[in-house]
Amino acid sequence: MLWYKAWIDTRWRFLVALALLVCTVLGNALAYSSVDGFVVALAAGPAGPLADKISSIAQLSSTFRGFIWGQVIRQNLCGLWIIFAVLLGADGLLSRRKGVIFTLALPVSRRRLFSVRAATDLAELFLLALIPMLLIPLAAPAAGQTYGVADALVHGISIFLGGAVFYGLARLLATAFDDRWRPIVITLAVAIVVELCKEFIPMPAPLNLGGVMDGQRYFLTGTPAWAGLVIWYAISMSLLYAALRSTEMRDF
Amino acid sequence: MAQSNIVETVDLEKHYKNVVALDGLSLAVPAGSIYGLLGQNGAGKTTAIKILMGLVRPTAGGAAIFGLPADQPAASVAIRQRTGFVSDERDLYDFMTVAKLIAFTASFYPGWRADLAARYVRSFDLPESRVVKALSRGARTKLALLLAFCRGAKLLILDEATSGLDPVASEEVLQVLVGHVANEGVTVFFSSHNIAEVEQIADHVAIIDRGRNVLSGALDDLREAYRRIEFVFDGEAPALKFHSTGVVRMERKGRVLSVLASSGSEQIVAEGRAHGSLSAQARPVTLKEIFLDIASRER
Repeated sequence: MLWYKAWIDTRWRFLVALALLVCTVLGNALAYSSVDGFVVALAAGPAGPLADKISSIAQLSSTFRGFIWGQVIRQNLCGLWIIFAVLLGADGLLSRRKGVIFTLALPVSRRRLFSVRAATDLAELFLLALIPMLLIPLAAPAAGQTYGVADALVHGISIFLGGAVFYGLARLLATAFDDRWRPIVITLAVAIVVELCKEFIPMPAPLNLGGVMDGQRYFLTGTPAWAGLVIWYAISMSLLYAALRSTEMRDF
Repeated sequence: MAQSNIVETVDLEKHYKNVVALDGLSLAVPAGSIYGLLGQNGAGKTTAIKILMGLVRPTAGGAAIFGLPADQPAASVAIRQRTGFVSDERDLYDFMTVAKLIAFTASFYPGWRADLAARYVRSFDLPESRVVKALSRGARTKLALLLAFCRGAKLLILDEATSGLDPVASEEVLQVLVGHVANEGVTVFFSSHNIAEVEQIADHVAIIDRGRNVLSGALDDLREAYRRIEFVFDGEAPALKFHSTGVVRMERKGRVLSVLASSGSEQIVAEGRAHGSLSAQARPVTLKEIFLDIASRER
């Protein structure tokens, strides 16, 4: 019954998130045929720094695989997924909402309550990363293209394993603040900093969370960034453990 | 801790930053009793109950139910398995229907009394298909009581169970509680700031003030022991110093000296007469008088 309650607590956020992510991914993928012609025109444009940047984006989008990685995964999917991960994490099981005293008075340990909710959230986040990605190979023929299932799996798993750290951080912050907004604002601010670091600060590949999450290495070399994925997933689990300990020690 | 006491706290303390919610609270709730925890708002009743239910960690001291330490997670789960609890907020899942919430709660208790649940749904006239959010405060309280009663618990802990209810609903809840205790033989530990309610159903009482137990015992013993003694003097009542230890409070009003005594009323009467009082009259006191006297003394 705890699983049932965890699902009831999260189902609307999950379903809305899934619908939005699926629409975003499919919308982009199916629009590729119109982007394709635009890319050719852009590539023949005037010279200059801005034109070079536009040209590089255009070159990336000259293949369907590059377009999916550059426009869908990096620009849309990762950002939206992080927002939903933060929303789920910030609404911790034991945030001060109606019903929390009733839940805590049940003959169940806080550890189990926390674990069931965290497992439900993580399962939903895994599906939010995987389902939109797996729809791309199915939708690609409609745009006259193909997309590998392996590519979809690797990118989906990378988003989940790398991005889980934002869920863990939001969950930890939710145990420290009574309101729901500070964990959301702080975690999203951290996500923006991570994105800026990805663009402007050179760092070893495993530490570049933005690059780990969007599967940059896999896209460029065909090899997943295992070290980075393991490191960031371990960090997210550590944050979750800290959140659990904080929940166990907290007064309600 | 003594096995005959189902609930026991020893020198229990709880501090929130600069606020002392409990200041060495010691209580002993005998098995089979209906124990009323009486105190003003902010006296520490809810904090004490939350510590017993494992919701709040004590700063110092000990709290045990069924001999199990309430502040240890594993023991707390075992305590909650055997304890029915109604919080002062009637904190329930608003989004569930009555029937769903009953089924949800039942799934955690192997000793769940489905027969009792069905009976209480009927007698409380609870609409099973209605969501909890749409229930009146009275119906919400009845549902909370049903969920506490039917888990096969040996102990009921009720925090301000009738607060916010109109007199009719409040009386109905008290009658249901007394009926359940009579039929099932459970121990009840309940908090209230309503003296009449405590006096109506409790057989043991503790009065707490600013986190301390200032008076406790069997209600009949307290009624038997406490006396209001009024001395009338020829002129202005003198500020006497009694040697008897039972003097709780003295008040002078013109020619009358009023003494509240917790014991030794005969000796106090004799002392007053020795100091020249024209008359001395000792009479029994109500719990309300005791509570108000103690509360004003503690201010």
